[in-house]
Amino acid sequence: MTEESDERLASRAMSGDRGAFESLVMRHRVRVFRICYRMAGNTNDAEDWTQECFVRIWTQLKAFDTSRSFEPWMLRVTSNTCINLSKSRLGVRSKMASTPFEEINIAAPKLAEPFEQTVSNQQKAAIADVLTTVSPVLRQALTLWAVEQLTFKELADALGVPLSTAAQRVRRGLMQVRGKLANKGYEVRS
Amino acid sequence: MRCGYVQRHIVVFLENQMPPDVAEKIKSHLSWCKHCSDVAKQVEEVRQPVKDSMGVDIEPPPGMVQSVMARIENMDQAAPAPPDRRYAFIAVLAIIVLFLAIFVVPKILKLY
Repeated sequence: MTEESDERLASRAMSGDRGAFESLVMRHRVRVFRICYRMAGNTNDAEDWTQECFVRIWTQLKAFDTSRSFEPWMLRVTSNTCINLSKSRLGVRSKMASTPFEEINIAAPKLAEPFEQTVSNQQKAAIADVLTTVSPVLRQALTLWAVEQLTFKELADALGVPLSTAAQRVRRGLMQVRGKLANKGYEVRS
Repeated sequence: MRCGYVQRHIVVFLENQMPPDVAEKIKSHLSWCKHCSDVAKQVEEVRQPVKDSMGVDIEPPPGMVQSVMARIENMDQAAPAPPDRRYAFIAVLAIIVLFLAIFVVPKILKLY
């Protein structure tokens, strides 16, 4: 038996069929959770953010054009929701003057360590931590590009921007990561 | 080919996603433009490490689907019910009857 398409399920969900929406949640929960995890930087927030993303997808389903593919639309709602949640988290933090930003819990190497093509676990952790401090819009582009392994055409579609804008966001995000790693004492070279 | 175009699309080029003819032009530009080739080098230094670091194998906790559906259920129940149109109709009718009773009926009665 062939599996019902996302678009068909979304169409049924749009007319109030919660069972169809539940199937969509079941099908995409891992992807959405991983995006949320990369955008939030920790599992606790990722859990809440995943729920929030699916609630937004449910409430915004009426805006979905069933003649188009469901996935890019879902990724757009998900990543936009994560951006809004990131911004509101930043807002809360900036109001709490006594509470500093989460310190990155990674010891910078005493001597500059170059990033080779083979990345060690420590370097992976350093990059992952630095990513949480990249601006939300750039992190959104990096996340969809790296976690979802989207092509730039797919990325542009998911972000709802021209391809050159999507590519530019990824480049700027990578440059931010590079700069922040250098500030932490990592020498970045190929 | 302009530097702006090359730098905007440099990641697309490095990921081999440019059409071959455009990729050739970018390659040729990078061969003589030091500024753009420096940008390309800097991006290339972090491109693959970032990609490798961002891949995650974590799974959502069990019960995620149920939690989402419960939230949607609660949300739908908490949403205010749409106003019943019958009540609106009765209210308008009552206003009309009242208007007639106060302003129109006394005038008609005076005629008799």
